[in-house]
Amino acid sequence: MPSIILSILARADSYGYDIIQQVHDLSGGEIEWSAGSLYPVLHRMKANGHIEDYWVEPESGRKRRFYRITAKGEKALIKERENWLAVHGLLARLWSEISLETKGGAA
Amino acid sequence: MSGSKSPKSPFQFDIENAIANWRQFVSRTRSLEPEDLDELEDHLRSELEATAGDGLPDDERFRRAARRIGSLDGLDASYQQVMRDKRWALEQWPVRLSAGLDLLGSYVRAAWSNMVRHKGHALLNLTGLGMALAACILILVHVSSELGFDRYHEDADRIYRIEMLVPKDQHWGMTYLTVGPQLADNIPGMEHVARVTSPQSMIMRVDDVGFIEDRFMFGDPSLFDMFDFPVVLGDASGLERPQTLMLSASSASRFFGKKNPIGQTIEVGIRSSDPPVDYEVVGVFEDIREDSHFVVDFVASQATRLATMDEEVQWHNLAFTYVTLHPDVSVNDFKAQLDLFWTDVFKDRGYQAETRPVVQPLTRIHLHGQITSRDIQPQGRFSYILIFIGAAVLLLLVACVNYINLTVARYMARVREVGVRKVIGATRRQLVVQFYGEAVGYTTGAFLLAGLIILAAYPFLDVSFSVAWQWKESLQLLGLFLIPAIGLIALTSGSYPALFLSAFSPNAVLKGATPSGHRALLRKGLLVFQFLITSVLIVATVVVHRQLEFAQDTRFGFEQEQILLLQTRGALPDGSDAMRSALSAIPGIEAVSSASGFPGYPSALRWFDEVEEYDGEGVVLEMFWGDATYVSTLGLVLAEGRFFDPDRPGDRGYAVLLNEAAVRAYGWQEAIGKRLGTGDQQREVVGVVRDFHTTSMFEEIGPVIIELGTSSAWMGAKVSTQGLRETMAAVQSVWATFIPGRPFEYSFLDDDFKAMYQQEQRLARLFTGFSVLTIIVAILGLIGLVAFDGRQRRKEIGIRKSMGASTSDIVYLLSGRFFVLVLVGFAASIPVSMILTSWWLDRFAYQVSVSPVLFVLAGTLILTVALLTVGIQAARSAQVAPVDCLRQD
Repeated sequence: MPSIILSILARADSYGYDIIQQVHDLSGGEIEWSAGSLYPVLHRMKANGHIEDYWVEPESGRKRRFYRITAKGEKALIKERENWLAVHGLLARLWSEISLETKGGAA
Repeated sequence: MSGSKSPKSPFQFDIENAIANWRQFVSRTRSLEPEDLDELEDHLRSELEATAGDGLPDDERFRRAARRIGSLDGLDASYQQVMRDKRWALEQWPVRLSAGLDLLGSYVRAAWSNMVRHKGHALLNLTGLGMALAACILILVHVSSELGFDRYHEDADRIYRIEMLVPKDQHWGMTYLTVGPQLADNIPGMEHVARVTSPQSMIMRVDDVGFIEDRFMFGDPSLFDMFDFPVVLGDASGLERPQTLMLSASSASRFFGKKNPIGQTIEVGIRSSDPPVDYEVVGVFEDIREDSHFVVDFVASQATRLATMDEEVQWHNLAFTYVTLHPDVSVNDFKAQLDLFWTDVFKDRGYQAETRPVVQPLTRIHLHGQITSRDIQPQGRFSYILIFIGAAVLLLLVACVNYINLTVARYMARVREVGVRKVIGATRRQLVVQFYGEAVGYTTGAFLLAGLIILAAYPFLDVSFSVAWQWKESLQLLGLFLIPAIGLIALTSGSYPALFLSAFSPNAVLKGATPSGHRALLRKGLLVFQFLITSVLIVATVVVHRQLEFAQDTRFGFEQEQILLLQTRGALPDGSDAMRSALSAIPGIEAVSSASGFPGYPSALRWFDEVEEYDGEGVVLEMFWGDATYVSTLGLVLAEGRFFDPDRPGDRGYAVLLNEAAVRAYGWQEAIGKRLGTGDQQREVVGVVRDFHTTSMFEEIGPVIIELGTSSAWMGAKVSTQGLRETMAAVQSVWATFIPGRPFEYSFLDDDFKAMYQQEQRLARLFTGFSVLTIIVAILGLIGLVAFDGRQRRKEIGIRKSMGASTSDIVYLLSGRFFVLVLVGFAASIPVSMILTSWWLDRFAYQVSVSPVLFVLAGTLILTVALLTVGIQAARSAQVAPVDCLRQD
């Protein structure tokens, strides 16, 4: 979850509701996050120093908390991406060699 | 936006209202910051906006939006965690403090719920730690009371006592009477100089009522300027006149009741035979506080004494001499000046020129005062304070080790919990905090328990424990001590579980690996250490007791036990023979003699300028005059020569007995017939007695000379212990006949000797208490460990039993290795105890031998107790039916 958030924020600053929307849209509706699970993660990431927040208060309309990625967060994201790609590559190779049909599928 | 625009009615759903209610509900049930609430509200509104065009009713839209936010449980926890960190990092200390208290509270709660879950374990842990803490706090109070002696005087840090080193490394607390005034005249920078004599025992009389008072001194009026001895009535300046005195408030009310004591007359006499001197009461002072090294009820004017002495006599009399230095004068300058002065004034004074001055700070007198020279009162011993502190620290260590051992043992069972918690995302830090927190909780609990124990024990403490026990001060002390102590103990005892357990890799733990290797080793090591300390304390206790017994009960070379001393104080210059025969007529009395003094009491000193076949340094002899039966009444043993012979007129004033130490000091091969001194002072040695103790066992037996003479200062009677009560009644009636109007004054020689070991007796009591405590604490720990071991090995026990092992096989299996550990601990303690006890014994000139039997006995005791504990506990574990053991897990 933190990796996805970091990736989204790396594209542009965003706020809670928007992050959930982006995840929903980008995953084609496959991944649905709730506010109850997102905000704690945002909090922890903020405490870790991977992201920081700021408030935007337009003249008309209500104030909104935005998050942006920090330098530390960017480093973490790069590392995360390397790890992830390594695992991805490995799994891709492994899965390409075995049949992935579920065994119980016929019944 | 259909519904929200229409006029509001109470039954119609209002979306703003709903949002406000929702916000209020969230803020009430979750502890969130306003900012976080704002963020959540914004989220809710965004959800609502997204469904604005769907045509659903507002209430349905709201319900959906709220549902999409999801459960807020996770939110709560993570917000709190983050908040807590933030508070510690950013906010000011008052907030931090309250956060800290919250944290402490949560630790106590965590520890409490843990305790409730494991009652037996908690009980063992708390009792051990609580008892050890109680003992330590009491020791601390005692130590601080001892260290606080004489500090209450306003000028305490500027007051010094001028003491003296005399040849042969003797350190006297007093110096010559003449030194004080000469100092005042010759050395600048002194505010006050005051002298007091050592306490004397006096016979006092007001009208027809007689008193015997031991706390009588001659002193300068400046005493009352120098020390904070508040004068309640009258004026210390009255002491400038001869034959005046001041007395303590309690003595004044004893002597005069409600009458105004000022101007009253008290008759005072050292000996009944001297004409009593009338003293006028010129003042009353408050009773001297108990935390003062002064023990005095009567201060008579020094002038009275000085009136009878010329300058030269003052050079041969001693007094405790105190000075108050001016605040600007450094003590080192003063010392330098004093040294110059001393060299100058003493240079022509023969042997006195060999003395050197010592400047002793007032506040050190109590603990560092001289044991050997007679001080104003028996002073504390600094080394004993150190021993007390050492013992307290050891005990606390044993208790902490116990805590670690028991906690680690139980945490082994919690390893799985740790693993699970790590997997669900608890950070190592959280775990560390949790374990330290529990330790803090336990320690706090133990302190509360210790408080209860102290309250319960308080009535049983004796006065000598802490003369200045005051709740207020003790509480302040505790307050100061409490918080760092909780922290320190928690740190010591919580570190192992906190740092070690939290470091386990969750994988390994969940796979069921019970990391055991070096942890078991550590537990074993700690157990060995614990029993090492316990054994040392037990051996030390036994040695202290045996030395005390030895010092008090061994024959000193005379018949200590049955000697009744009557302090006749020269009441019967002529009638002493008559009184002696009256006493001898009492059936229970075997022998009576009168003498100038008895062992254990200050005696006269004597030296001879010319000694036959000896030309070394002058030997100072302790001198006793006694009648012909004196030596036999005391039960002294003749080494060679003869005792005095009442039928030889030549013996009186000429024949003397020496002890073996005196013969050694003179270096004679043959002592009989040797002459000491010249002219009138000449004496001839007619016999040598075996060495006997004239003072405590701290000191070596010195040279003693006994002369045949008439002195009726004392009467000593050898009494049979049978029918002692009747004998005493008879003695008292004889006393009343010969010395009417004086209180019956007697003591037993052995009691007087015992009184010399007050400090050592306290030490012995303390050590007994400590060893009992450490044994209990160590045994508690052992019980816990064996019980735990049994639980860990339930399965093994079950299997073994079902394979046919008997209960006793299992007991053997379980207890064997603990027993070995205790044995190792004991063995390791032997060298430690030997070093410690010999260090302590070295202060005695005469010591008990520490025999191997002692160690065997102590070892047997420890091993027996340990074996019983382990055995009983193991038997409990072993008695479980195999089925139950195996069914578990």
